[in-house]
Amino acid sequence: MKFLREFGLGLVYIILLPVLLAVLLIVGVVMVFVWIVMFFKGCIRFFKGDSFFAPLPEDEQVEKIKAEELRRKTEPENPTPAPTQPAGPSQVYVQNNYYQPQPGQPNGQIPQNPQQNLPPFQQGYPQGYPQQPYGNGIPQQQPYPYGSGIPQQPQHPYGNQGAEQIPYSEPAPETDPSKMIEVNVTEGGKEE
Amino acid sequence: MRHYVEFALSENDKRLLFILLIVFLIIFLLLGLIGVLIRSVSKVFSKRIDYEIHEAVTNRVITTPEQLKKYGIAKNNRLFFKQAIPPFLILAVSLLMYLIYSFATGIWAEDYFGHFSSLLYTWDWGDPENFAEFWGLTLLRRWPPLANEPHFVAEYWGAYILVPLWLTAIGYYLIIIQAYVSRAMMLEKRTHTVFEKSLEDFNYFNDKKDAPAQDAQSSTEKK
Repeated sequence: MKFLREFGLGLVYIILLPVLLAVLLIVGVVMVFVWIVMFFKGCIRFFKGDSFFAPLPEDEQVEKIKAEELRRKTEPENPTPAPTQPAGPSQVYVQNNYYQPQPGQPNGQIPQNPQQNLPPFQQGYPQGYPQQPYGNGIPQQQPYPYGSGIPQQPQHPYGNQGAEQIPYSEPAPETDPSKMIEVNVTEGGKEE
Repeated sequence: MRHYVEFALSENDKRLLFILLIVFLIIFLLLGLIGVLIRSVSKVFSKRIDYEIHEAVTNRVITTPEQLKKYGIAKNNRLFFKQAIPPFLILAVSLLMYLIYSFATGIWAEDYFGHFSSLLYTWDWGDPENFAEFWGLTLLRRWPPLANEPHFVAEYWGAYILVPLWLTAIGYYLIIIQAYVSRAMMLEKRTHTVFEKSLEDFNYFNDKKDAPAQDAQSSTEKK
């Protein structure tokens, strides 16, 4: 069906072929002169040092738009500032607190409620202070809220009990089996 | 009183009529196919103008049909200029050859196409014995005898060079002109379609969301 339609249109073209040929001849003759004029205009421009064809204003605008798009792609619109380093040297101090066993408790056993041994006025923490389950002795890293790089140790309610601040160094994992002691702990926390 | 005309065809007339029918059918088919070819070639040529004006239109640089037409004509002319360089170069070379040949021989007017036909088959179409009258039509009765077989004549070397150059340049130029006209027609079509405001699928009572003026009017009335 489509072929028949095309065929019919083809016949129409053939019927109109004399008109088409006449149009082609007229346009052909006119375009010879147009070509010659364009040739001489282009030659004059070329020997003046310009491009052969004068740039069209629409093309110039398109080039500007494309250049702008390219610039937007290569440079981000809101560049994120580089992260600033703190002014001073950043040092991390780790406070190693060791649990001091109370007399009468087995080694390595953690008291269930260490505050019960404290005087009544020292039991409990000030309001708003994070609860420490083991009272004194067990270090607990607090997330630092201000981000200055130097960790601030929260003020201990019971004072500094022998804590020593040493510069942080990456501890090497203990892998030598001769230095390791095998401790068997039964239920109840007693050594076998 | 009625008059009857006796209409009888001889066997020879029937054969001739049958052959005539077949010839007309073949010519009809061939013409249709040539028309299809012209149409499809024009379609292919016309697509080039879309490529030329695409960026300016899609980047919204062109805002009016008049601007599009002016820009499209400029682009079409430039493309024509570039495409027409080869045929014009061929013509320039042929002109140079003609000048050299004419200076060399001293003859400035020759039947170049006649000389070139010595390389072609030619038949004697002028003999009236080869034609017959059939219902007022002059039809070919038999194929005319061969008048010339292809043969090379050394003196015609100028025609053997010049005529092919001219035919090539003219054919090439005609194809380029056809492409130019096809692009011009497509440009004319685009100037109407690119800025077309169609109300084909619009209905005033159905498409309420497309009527902000009406909404604005109703809201002011409420106030």
